[in-house]
Amino acid sequence: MRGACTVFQKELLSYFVSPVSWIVAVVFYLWRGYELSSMAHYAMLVRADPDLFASATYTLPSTTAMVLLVPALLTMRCFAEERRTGSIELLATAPVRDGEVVLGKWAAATVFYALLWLPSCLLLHVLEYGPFLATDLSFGPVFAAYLGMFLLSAMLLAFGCFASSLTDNVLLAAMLAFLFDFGLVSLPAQVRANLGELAQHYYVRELLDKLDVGRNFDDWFARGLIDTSQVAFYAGGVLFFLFLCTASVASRRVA
Amino acid sequence: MTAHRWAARVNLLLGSALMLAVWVLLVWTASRPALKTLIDLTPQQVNSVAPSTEALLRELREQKVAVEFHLFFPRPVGQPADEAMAQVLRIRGRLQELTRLLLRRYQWLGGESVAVFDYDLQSDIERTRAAALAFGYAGNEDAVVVAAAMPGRERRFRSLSLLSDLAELDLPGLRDPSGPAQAKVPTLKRYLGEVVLSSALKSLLVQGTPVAYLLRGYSRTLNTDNPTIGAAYGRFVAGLRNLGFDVRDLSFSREHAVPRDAALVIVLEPDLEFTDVDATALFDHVAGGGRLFLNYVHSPREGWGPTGGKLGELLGYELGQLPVFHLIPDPLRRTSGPGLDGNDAVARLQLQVSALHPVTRRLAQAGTPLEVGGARGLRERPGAPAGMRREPLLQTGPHAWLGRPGRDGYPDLKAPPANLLQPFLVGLAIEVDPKTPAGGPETAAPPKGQVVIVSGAFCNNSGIEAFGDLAYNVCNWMAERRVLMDIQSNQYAPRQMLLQTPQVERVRWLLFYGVPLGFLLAGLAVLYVRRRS
Repeated sequence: MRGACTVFQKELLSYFVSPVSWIVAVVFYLWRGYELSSMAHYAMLVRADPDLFASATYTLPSTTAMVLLVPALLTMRCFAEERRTGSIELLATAPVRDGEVVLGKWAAATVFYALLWLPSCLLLHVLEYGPFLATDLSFGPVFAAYLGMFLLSAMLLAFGCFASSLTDNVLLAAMLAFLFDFGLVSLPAQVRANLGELAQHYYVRELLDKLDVGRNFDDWFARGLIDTSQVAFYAGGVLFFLFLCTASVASRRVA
Repeated sequence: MTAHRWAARVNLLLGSALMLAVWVLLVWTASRPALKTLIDLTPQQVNSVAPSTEALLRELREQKVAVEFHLFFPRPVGQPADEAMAQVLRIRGRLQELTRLLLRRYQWLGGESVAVFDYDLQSDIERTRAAALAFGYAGNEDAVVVAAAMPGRERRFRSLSLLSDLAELDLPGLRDPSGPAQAKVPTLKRYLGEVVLSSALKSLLVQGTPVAYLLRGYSRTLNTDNPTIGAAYGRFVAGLRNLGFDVRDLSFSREHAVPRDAALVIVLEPDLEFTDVDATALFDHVAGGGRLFLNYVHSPREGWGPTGGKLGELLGYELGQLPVFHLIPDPLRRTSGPGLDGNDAVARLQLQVSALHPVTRRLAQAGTPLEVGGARGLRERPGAPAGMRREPLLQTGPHAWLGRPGRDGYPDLKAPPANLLQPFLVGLAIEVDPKTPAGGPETAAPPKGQVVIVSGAFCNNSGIEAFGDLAYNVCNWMAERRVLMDIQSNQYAPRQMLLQTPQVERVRWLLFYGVPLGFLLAGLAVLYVRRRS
């Protein structure tokens, strides 16, 4: 695991010094700031319930964009860039196993992504104080929403790593990851609509329910509910795509 | 391609398939009913269904009962003509969303036994038409059809209107003009989805329709039709019908015995003593295995406070004439004593509920508060007949007293000295041994008779929303439909944020300018340091 830690530290540092990361953060918080201040204005007009206010911030369009677009952007360079510049050879000859490299890169992307989100939670806490909203917001649903988004993103980041390992073209890797993310969000609903009665068959329904990540986030996590079977689904997804990524990196080395 | 590369690819493919199988197995295992859990982190557990609903759905799954929910939500046509219509559309949309979410939880809990069918007339005409014909849906409003089929039995169903049955709306023009200012558009007061859908589901599972008889002629003010007057019982009776009871009137002036099809007899707020003949008829009903629910209240009028009379003699109970009061907590903590008196709130008794009797056990376990108004003390009559067992159901706290009439003739709200304070019994269950059957020992013995006596008003229109569970539990238990004993889901108490414009302005400055600027500066600093190093 020492190799994985070394890769993790190097990758995390590279995220922090990358201009792209800071641009993403500025654009995201500008957008989110606009949305949240509009929400606060609306809450003033309708005397909104503070119990619903905090978790509602996780159903804003900026959240969707952040979950769908940013994992692909963060991971597109993971392996594709290394292969394009030839630095993959350095990694291949370094005393670290393929699995450790994959784990380190994925963990760095996931931690950076989580850190990118963390200020959104802290800001909600700041908003509780007197000069701002001066109310007790409920952080239970916020925790559930944050967990749901983190798990989904961890799976998408794992797929992003896998997509990046398939090609040496950074844009192609990003496109693959985008397609997967959008497919995962939009296809299950389409399939459900087209299956008609068959969609009510227990096993078909269970499968579609698990795969319909957007609906799961809106109906469960964003409402403060944690379904442990969903947690297992995302954890399994992370393991599966990390395995594929490791196998892909290993097969490239063989090739 | 070399054999080595082929082998590597086959190896990769096999490994991926194996890993996929592990993923599927992990999810399948985690989705087993015994292992999966739903953790509700919302305040007041607003997204959780009641434990009774959970138990019901689990039971249905075990019994392999096929439960179906058919949603007929036609799309709105055209533009709303005015703001009221637009508001109705918004309410419909919200109710549809809440119902779909609720049914997802039912599916989650019920697993393979629960199926939800959502119909769309525009995109799936054939399927919608077939379902509409099967359930007699006319297509003019939003409806939820609840259908249930026990193994080997015919499917039964019940249609519920989204706007009328599953929600409580505040409609402009229906309010009392002397009351608060009228709303100009309809508003959604409360969503009743879980209570109504679970009740409908449970009533479908009960074969046959129990008949509840409301005894007439013993209350001079009883009103069981009006759903809005606080002292009337319209909502209680409607609730019983929703639970699947056939509610009928019983008058001893026309019939001299309780009909044989009676699942139970309900006597609400009697203000006259039962005549000997009628008391004997009621007792015969109970002694023959029948069920009787008596709900007395205190009335300040002279001669309006029956104490049980002949029926009390036969069943061994009696009521006092005076109302029971209890000290109330001091909200300002001005005293270190047990509470305050002199306030008419002392007439509202917060009761201790028996955790032993099946009617009150779940209420006691759930910690559901129960409050009655205008109660009188209830006690066992000296020399009570044998062959019956009495069990306390409801009791006041230890600091209660009997309100004796003051100089104005009304009960005095001031407490007596502390040494005269004592607890009073206000709810009692009596189990009556059956009479020996006429056919001798070979004939099957009839069931034991059951009587529940509650003193104090709690299931009239004012109290039914908060405290009606007890009344419905009593009726369901008496009708031997234990599955229907229910606790309504927690009522979410919403909070409000009262914001001023300067606060919102500060939020905007912080989030729209401050935070992005902070990130920009931090990013520039990092890049500067990196370039320098």
